[in-house]
This record gives sequence, C-alpha cells and structure tokens, in this order.
Amino acid sequence: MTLVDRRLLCEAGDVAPGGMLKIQPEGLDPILVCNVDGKLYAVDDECTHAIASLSEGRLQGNIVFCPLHGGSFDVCSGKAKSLPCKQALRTWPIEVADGKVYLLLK
Amino acid sequence: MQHGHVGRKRGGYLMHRARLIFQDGAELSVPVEAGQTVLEGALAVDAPLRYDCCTGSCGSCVVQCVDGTTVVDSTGKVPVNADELAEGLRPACLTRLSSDATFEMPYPLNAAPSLPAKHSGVIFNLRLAAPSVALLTLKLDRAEGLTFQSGQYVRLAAPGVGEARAYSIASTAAELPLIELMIRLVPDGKMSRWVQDTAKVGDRVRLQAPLGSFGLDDRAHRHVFVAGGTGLAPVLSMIRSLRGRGASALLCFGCTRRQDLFYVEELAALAASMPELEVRIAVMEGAEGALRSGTAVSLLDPTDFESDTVCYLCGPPPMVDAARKTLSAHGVPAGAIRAERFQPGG
Repeated sequence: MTLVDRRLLCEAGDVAPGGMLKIQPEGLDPILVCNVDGKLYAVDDECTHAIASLSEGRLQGNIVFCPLHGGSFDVCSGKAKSLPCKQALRTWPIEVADGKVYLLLK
Repeated sequence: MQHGHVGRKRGGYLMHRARLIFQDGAELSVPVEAGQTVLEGALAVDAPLRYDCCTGSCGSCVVQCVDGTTVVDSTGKVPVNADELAEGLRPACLTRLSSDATFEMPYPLNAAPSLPAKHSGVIFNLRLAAPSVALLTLKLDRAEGLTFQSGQYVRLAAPGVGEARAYSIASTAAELPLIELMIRLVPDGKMSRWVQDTAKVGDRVRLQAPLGSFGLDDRAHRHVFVAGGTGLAPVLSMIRSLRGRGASALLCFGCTRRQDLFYVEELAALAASMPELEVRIAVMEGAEGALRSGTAVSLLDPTDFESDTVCYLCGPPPMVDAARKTLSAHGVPAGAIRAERFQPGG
C-alpha cells in the first residue's frame, strides 16, 4: 500500500474561475493553482525557460503566459505551447475535499 | 539578396529550407514551413540555434543572411537597426523565408557551450568599482556540466528583486565555479538598489546560464574590441580567453565621466601580462594623463585593422551605431563586425 501525503494548499474558493494563486509549500518550490472553467490544476510556478513567476503572467482559458517573454504552457497537461518555452511545466496531482485543495505527494 | 529556389509543397504547406553554416564550417539544413520563423523551424528539428527571448529584444538569435529572400516581422521590437538589416543581419525569431536561404551563425557547432540551465550560488565578493559600477562575483553551488563561451551572459535573480536581469560574464570558464559580473548602478533600478542596499557576501542567488551568441571568431588573427561602460564585461572575458593564442588584440574602452571610469588598474595589469594586448582608454569628461578625451569609438585609428581583423562592439546602442559607421569608414566589412545588442536594465 502506498501512503499518500496530503498537503493543504488553499481553500478552493481562493481561486476564482480564470484565476491563479501562487503558493509556497514548505520544502517545495512554489506551486501555481489555476482555475480553468471551475476545475483546479496545480503546476510549478516558475517558467521552465527563464527565471520568472508564472503567477505574475496571464491565464487565458487553460493557457498560462509567462510575464517575462510571453511563452506559454497548458496548465492541464503542463505542455509548452509557444516559444521560448520548450520544456514542459511540472504538473502536480491535487484533490479537492470539503472545499479545501490538497497537494498529493507520494 | 539573390533569389533562391522555389519552395516545395509539403502536405499542402509551402516549405523552404534554411541552410545554416556555423563558424567552424559545420552545416545543417532545416525545413522552415510557411508561417514558421527560421528559429521555429530550427528548433522543431532540434538544430542548436542559440536564442533566448523570442520577442526580438535580446539579439541572441541574430544571424547573417548570405543568400535567399526573407521577411522580417517589424511590428514589434527588432534587435537590429536598418543598416544592420541592409547588411544581412537577421533575428531568426522574427525572420520568415520567401525562398530557400543560407545563414551564417556567429558561433561554432562544436564545441558548443552547455545548454541554458538554472543554477544557484552565493555572493562570493561584492565591491564598488566606481560610484556607478559594482563588481559582483558569484560562486555557483554546482558548476559540473556548465561550460560557457566568453561573451555570453547570465540571467540573475536576486532575492526580493521581482524580475531577473541579464548580465554579461566578465570572467572566463576557467574560473568556474566563480562568475564575475559588472553591474551598472542606475538611480531607482531594482537590481541596483539590491546591490547597493541589501546584497552581502554569502547571500544566495539564482541564475540561468549560459545565454547569448556574442563570442570570438577564432578564425581571426587580430581582434579589435570597442566597449562602453559595463559593456566591458563580455569583452574582458573574450580578451582573457585570447591569452597565449597568438592573435593580437586592441581594446578601446570608454566611459562618459572620469568618475564613472573603472577597472583601469586591472586593465593595465592585464596588458602588462599579455604582450599581444593594447589597451586605450577615453572619457568624454575630465580626461587627464594617459586618459584620452572622447568616446571609445574615437580611440580607433585607420591603421588598427589588418585584412583578417574581427571587431566586437558592446555598449549603449548609440556607441554601437557610431562604432559601426567608423569601422565601415575604415574599410572593415560588415561581416567582420560583431555586436552585443543586449541592454541590461537597472
């Protein structure tokens, strides 16, 4: 049996549809929680191209645009969608229970 | 530009080919589909074209078009001016093809520096070299696998400074894990404020390296460098890496005011230890003694150039533009001039 470490990230209501929230869990790199049409996704907050916080960029549907060079990622899959971003963004499994968003760590 | 071959249709799309010739003579041919930029076409097949911003700002992807017809998207920022475009310089991230085309890369295919990666480290040393210039030496935690070419830059992220900034490396790869940067201090600049008010030895920083395509043409037997202000950094790294290679070098270094001048003693020591290097220094205001009055460009003399001289320019855009005009007047061909276009912020 695999033990899953659940880490509270935020309240589900903290991230409105179309919104993003940067969270700094202890011992981990900052995580970005995105609300795409009512469904929440968690990805690394730092752009894989340069050193920039995606939370300071723009979320359009399921695509987040980096504030530094305008490269983009699909926050559902983590896939890089436009240059200069080539490397995928790390996606994190989450669970929403009782209005709270948990990060699932194995 | 001559017209190249007519494009071929692939899957309904008009496609051209870009022939990429590297400094070491290595060649690659990449397909560039209609609508794609040369950079997008190259990256789609993992051709090692150097690039950074993809927004026409950094100049890292500028290449020399020697054949073919191209269209440069000039709706936003373009990192080369009209004269440079006329000479065939093309930012690969903004250039599309109307025919097959041939480009020369200002760097070798082998040995290439390591791919840009994120690194962490600490401040190893920090001192003011002039009231407007700080010398920042970083010690990377892990430098294994990192190699860079003299002339390249890093993107530095300092704690509490929102946006990472680009700085050319003044040291050489031989000094890794140490990296020396020259930081121009500007009033109200975020990074400037961090350097002046907060930063201290031992503080942790993060950086992305190596970036950029500014570098030596190792085919040349004479190298002429024109540097203004902290534009000295990449040029210094290049000069340091020339030691013992048998080529001759001239550095023309200028600052606006006497009080902005920095690194004079270090340059004198470098010239004393490198018989192949001549250093000339000028300031526009307050020249005295061995300092000449004028700009870095004014230090150039028509007799400074031999047939296989390559010139390197780094400084504020007006200095780079003035240097290009002077070099052209001295008979230096456009293909023998390399410029670092990146202008670091505050």
